[in-house]
Amino acid sequence: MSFIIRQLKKYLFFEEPEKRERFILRPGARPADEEGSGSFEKAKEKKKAESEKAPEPGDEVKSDIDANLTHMKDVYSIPVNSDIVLREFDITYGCRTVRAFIIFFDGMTNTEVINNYILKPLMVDSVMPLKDTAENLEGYVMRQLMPHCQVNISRGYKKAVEAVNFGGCALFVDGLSVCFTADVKGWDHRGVEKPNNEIIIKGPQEAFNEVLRTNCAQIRKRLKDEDLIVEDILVGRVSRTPCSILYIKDVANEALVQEIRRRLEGISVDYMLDAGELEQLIEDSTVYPSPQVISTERPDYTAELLVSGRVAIIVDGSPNVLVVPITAFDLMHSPEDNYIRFPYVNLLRYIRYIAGFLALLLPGLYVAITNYHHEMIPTDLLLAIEASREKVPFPSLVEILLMEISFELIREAGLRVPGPIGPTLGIIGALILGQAAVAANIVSPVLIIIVALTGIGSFAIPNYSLAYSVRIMRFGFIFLGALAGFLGITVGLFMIGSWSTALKSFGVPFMSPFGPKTSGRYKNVIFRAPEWKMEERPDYLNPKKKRKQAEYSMKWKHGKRKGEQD
Amino acid sequence: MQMDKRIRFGRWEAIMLITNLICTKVFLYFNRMTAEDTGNAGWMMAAFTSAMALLFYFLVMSLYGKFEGMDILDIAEAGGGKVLRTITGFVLGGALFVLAAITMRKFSEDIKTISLPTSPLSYVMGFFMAGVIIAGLLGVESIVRHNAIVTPIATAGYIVILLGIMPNIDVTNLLPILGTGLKDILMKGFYRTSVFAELLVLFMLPPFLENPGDARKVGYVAITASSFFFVTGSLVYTLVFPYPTSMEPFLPVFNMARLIGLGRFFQRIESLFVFIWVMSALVYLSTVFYFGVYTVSKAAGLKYARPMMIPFAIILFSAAFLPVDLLSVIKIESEIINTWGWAVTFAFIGLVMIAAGAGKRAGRGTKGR
Amino acid sequence: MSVFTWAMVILILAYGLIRTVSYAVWNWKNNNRAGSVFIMLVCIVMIALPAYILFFRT
Repeated sequence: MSFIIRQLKKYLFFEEPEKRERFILRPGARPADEEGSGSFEKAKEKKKAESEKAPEPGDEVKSDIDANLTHMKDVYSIPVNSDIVLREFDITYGCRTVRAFIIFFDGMTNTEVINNYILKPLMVDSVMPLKDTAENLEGYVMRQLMPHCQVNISRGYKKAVEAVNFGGCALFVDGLSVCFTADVKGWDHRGVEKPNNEIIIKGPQEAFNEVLRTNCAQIRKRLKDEDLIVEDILVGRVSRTPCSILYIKDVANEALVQEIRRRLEGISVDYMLDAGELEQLIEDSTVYPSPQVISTERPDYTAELLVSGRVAIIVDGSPNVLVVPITAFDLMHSPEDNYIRFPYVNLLRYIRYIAGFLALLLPGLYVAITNYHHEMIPTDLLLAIEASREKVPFPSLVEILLMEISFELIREAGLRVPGPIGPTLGIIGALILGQAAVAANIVSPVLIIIVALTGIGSFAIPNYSLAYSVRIMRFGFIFLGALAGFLGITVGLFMIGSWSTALKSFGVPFMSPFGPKTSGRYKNVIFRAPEWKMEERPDYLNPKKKRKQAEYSMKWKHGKRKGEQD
Repeated sequence: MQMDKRIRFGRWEAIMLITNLICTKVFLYFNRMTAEDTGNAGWMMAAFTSAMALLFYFLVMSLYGKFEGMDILDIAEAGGGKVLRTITGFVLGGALFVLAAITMRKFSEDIKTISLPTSPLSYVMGFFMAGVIIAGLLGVESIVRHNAIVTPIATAGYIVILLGIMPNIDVTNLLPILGTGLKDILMKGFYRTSVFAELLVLFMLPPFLENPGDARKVGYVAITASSFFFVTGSLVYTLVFPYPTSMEPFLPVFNMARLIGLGRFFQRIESLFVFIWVMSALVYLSTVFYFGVYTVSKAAGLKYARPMMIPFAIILFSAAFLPVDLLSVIKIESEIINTWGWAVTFAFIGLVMIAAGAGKRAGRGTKGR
Repeated sequence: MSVFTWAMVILILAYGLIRTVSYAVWNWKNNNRAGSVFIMLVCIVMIALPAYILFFRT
């Protein structure tokens, strides 16, 4: 109740708007004092400071092994917690025996690695005489006794626990106020498979999976560029989900990367489990229908977007990678656009725009025309439509809502239905939508065509989330068409247009490069220029390097052949 | 206007904005008005009017030199202090309001006639109003960008109409070449520079421009582009409709679109143009309305213009109902707005600038944006 | 006019009035007396104009 009153008060009475600094992506060349420039160096220093930071008081690893043992047992609720493994053993150091223990999660780690490369050297090989007796115990363990490639030394419990939680193994040794953490992840996961949702015919057929580093590697192996930076950030106060920000250092705008860092660091939730959740936590507008972030499962597409100066965010445990910033037109691009020839891709683009238009407006236009603008339809067609509608008892609005809702039902049911029952649903759907409704004079045959075209149109939209938004807006346009015909639909378009032009995706106006106008509008927005003509990166991204091709990218056409005479 | 501090837009957006503002009347009445004024010589009058507007604009802009980057309110303040600033703001805001109210009434009446004959006028106007309020609340950035998208589309639609109408052209309609006479062309052409009244918005734009020096250029390009539409519009209109018919008080371009027929099947495609008209009307109304509210609020020293959108929208909606019927709307439009608009756009602004230039305090804060 | 229309008109006017007056109050509190008076004038026009259209014009 108090919430309602508060909201009512907020809308009824004027309150001074909060002063919020809006992020606007401006060209890379900025004066040094402004935020954003040199942010890469700052981030580097911050990371360095973080890794060298002394643990908080009370968090330091003790040199007494019993204290450490008690602490770790306490942290992991041993023995209630059953999948945590705590193994105690002895290390021989010179002529004395030192107590030690390791702790790791069963199932998340590779026990083979732990046995052979951690336990065996520590327990067995340590018996052998020291090569360098001058070395202290810490150095001895680190340099000689742990033949594992990823070992870190941490001075606080917190880091050790974080490492263990994410498939690490922590080693505590008596007398040392440090702990060694080895990365021995070994949980079961999906391999790299074919993309399920973004299907293309030509081009690579690999998709991301749920493992962060595999996903990073998928991109890195494509770009082969040492300037590709993978910056890690932990999101979620409890879940500490590792996320990686990927960008190309000498291409992406630093202010943009800084803004993404700021948004990710500014998320305060307990658990963040999937890229879909992260998308909702970092996007600019929550209620705007269409997505403001590209969520893709294709590493090749991600790599291409990175090359253009965008930034990718990988969330551990999610097979979808988020790419920002985007514009409305990017949502109509398919990963395949890069791999097929210039004439074909333009044909496909037109078809997609037609599909989007049909999916969004066709039912609304039908309602508008049948209710208000009969004169628009050529007489013969009008007669055909009216004849088919003659026996239908409903007004066209009810008729179309009936059909659209049944179609949405079938679509949603088809998604949730268990595999073997799938075909049954298809039959029911086809019968209800196609045959019975017409035979029973509930709807007119023309309407079936409209609904079918609308459905096909929405399936042809390449971005899955955009298809959702089109579905939502379609109902709005049906009502507007019923309320005021073309006037209503145009007002609806105007409102959506106003909203879109006011919107930004990570500082980039959503309707650029048309509103506001930037260069390169005819390169890869609605049309796509030939591959050799894609000389520049999108202007609205304000990348550090504008050009991505030489002016003559096909040098062989312009140069002379070997041995050729003038 | 704290909120708008960081909003900037480029030259192209500004040009599209002003061009759309000036040219929306081509859809509404401009061609018919020229036909009424000078008969068959409407296109000549359009050309003369545009030339006059360019001249006036040049004169006004030659006074603008030292105030580069300031809007007209700041200029007025530099010259005549707070009093002149307030007066200027209210005159400008009032003029924009009258324009918005009349255009809204006119558009609503026309849309009602074209496609919603059985709906009450307030219902049709309500839709326009909804669009205007939303755009007003979303702010100037959205409005300007929307202009940059809609204007080229509307232009394309307009050119399609001109091309489609080509088969109906009869060159003899141009004769007598001087229409009702040279005197009409010159005299009425002078008064009709009022069709450029929307240039008022331009004088509020400079602080928003990325490069404040562009304001001058924007005006010239917009006037030139508009004159192209005015001249082609009236020329084709005259060529298609013989003199007495051309004075029929109905949407001239819509009448032209009605004649377009492509074979037996596509006979009545004019309804499609409703999209373009309504769209450019909405953009026009939202722009004029927004800048009206912005100007008045700024003149009154209000920090935020946004909370004033709703009350002014209600006033605009009611004001649009003040004329009793369509004929009185047309009368107001033709005898007041399009006869005396120049007095505000060019004469008043010019006087303010002269006053500001003469003002002792002109040196203070000329660059102070 | 139907009851529904009346209700709409009254609701919209009431909403506009309350919000605008609260803005005027805010301005008054923030030492913009002239602005506040101006807003109140706008409020009066906002009520008077529709009232004139609805009741007094034949």
